[in-house]
Amino acid sequence: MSARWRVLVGFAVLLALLPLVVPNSFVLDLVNRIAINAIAVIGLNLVMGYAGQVSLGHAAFFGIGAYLSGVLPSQYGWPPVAALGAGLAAAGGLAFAVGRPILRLKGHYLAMATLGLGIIGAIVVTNESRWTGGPDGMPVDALTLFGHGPGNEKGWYAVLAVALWLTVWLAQNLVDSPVGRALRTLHGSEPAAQSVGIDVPKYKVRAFVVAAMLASFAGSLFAHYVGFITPQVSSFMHSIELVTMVVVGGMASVWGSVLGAALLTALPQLLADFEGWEMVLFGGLLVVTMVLLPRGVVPTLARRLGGRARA
Amino acid sequence: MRFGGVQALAGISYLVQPGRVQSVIGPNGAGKTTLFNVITGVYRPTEGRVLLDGDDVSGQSPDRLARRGVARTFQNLQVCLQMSALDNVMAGAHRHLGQGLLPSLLHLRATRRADAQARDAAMEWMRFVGVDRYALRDADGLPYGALKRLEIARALASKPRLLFLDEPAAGLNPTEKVAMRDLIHAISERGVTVVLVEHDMKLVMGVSERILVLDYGRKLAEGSADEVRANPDVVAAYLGHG
Repeated sequence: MSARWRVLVGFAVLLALLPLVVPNSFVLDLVNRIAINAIAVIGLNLVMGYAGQVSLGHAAFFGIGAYLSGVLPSQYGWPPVAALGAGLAAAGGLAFAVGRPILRLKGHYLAMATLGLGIIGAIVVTNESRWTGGPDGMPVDALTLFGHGPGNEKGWYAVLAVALWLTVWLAQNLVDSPVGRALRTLHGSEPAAQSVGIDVPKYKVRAFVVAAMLASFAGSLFAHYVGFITPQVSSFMHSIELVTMVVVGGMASVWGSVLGAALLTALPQLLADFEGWEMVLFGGLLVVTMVLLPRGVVPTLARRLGGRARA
Repeated sequence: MRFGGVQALAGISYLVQPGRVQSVIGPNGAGKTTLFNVITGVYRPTEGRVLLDGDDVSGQSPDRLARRGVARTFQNLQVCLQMSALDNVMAGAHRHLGQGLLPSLLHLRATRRADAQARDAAMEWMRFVGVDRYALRDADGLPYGALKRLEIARALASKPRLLFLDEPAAGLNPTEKVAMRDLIHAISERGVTVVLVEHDMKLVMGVSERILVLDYGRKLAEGSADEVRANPDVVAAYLGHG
């Protein structure tokens, strides 16, 4: 068994054993939220960490999944799984359509363009209150497939653990493939990438599409899990949270994404007394990470340990 | 080739001869790198055409030309410093690998096998240019001379027919320059057509079967090393017009 598979099997065992040590449903709920965020963050890291393209509007794709899963089943009678699929298609399609013009931009310009995309997403869900309930939000039907649903937190944990494991597996595959190498190459040097035949815009768009679909997937899961969504899911703040998770956990590290999601989902819950100050916390952490651990937690640790755990 | 009001290249007709080592020389600002950039698709020529096997490829993007077997290195290094040296070279094999998104996401057996072969081939090229001992190290932190060779290994990994080397000897010490000359010979012996832009006359005269001399964006002379050396225009351009 390759080192990669040993780690993946280890992760599966960890996920399987985790519920046995979780003390109560409050903590299990936290773990579930971590898994949902991690799925979106892994996707965003493909764009930011591997392909080296900033995206400050990723919550727009999260919002697409969340709201299609909210609106289509409750108002149009779609099966939740079909709505989830529609979210994947819509997010992937939108990323494909806007990716090519947007991803030609570099640095600050790309940041501004993706920021604009995110803001449009937030405005749309706020204004289309006929469907979305506007700023007050909307209830979401339970996730069911042939009449069965995950039910309580334990059932949800099983669903989310499998979803997270699959996401990690897919991302690891991608990273460790010719496509992943092409992304890292164009990140390192676009002239170099072109000189070996890599169609740079095409590969950027690919990363963007995969990331958008993972965000939409996470958004759908979130909507069904929490059962109620507000425009906050596609807000600028949520985009920044996702970016912070990528940066703190570690750019270009799948495991870093999982850790980043875990740290930054857990921290605000543990500091619940300081409600309203979460964004200050996120901003502060972002600054501290950039100064002290510019590579993020996992890549820095991997380097200290001799570069063996490179993910 | 014109940039705004600057005529960078004019009236140049240049035939790359298959299977030979040839050089483009000229004083700074003569248009050598611009010529490379026009031929390899970085710039679209404002006038004139670039032909490859008789096809007009003017203004085709560098990646399309690369997929047709045109490889290059860069005057100011373009190495991906965050990647291992081996990954840099494996990137060179991109056009020969499965590029589908789904096979990569699912890690299909065929994709894995092709990648493993690319890895072996990349190691082979690293040995060929003499940087194999750095294979698993990050490219960041390799000595300058090794990075130059790493770029050549990456270009070779794409199995090019035509290889453009932009100042391969710049910044190398005398020993490394001799080794670079031997490497260029060895590349040529493998059947790759090599064109280099170079300032080091010893290297140019040592490896080139044909030399093109540019000055102020125009063709000053073309011929063998001896012919070029004996050309009074070339001497004047290099020594200054008395």
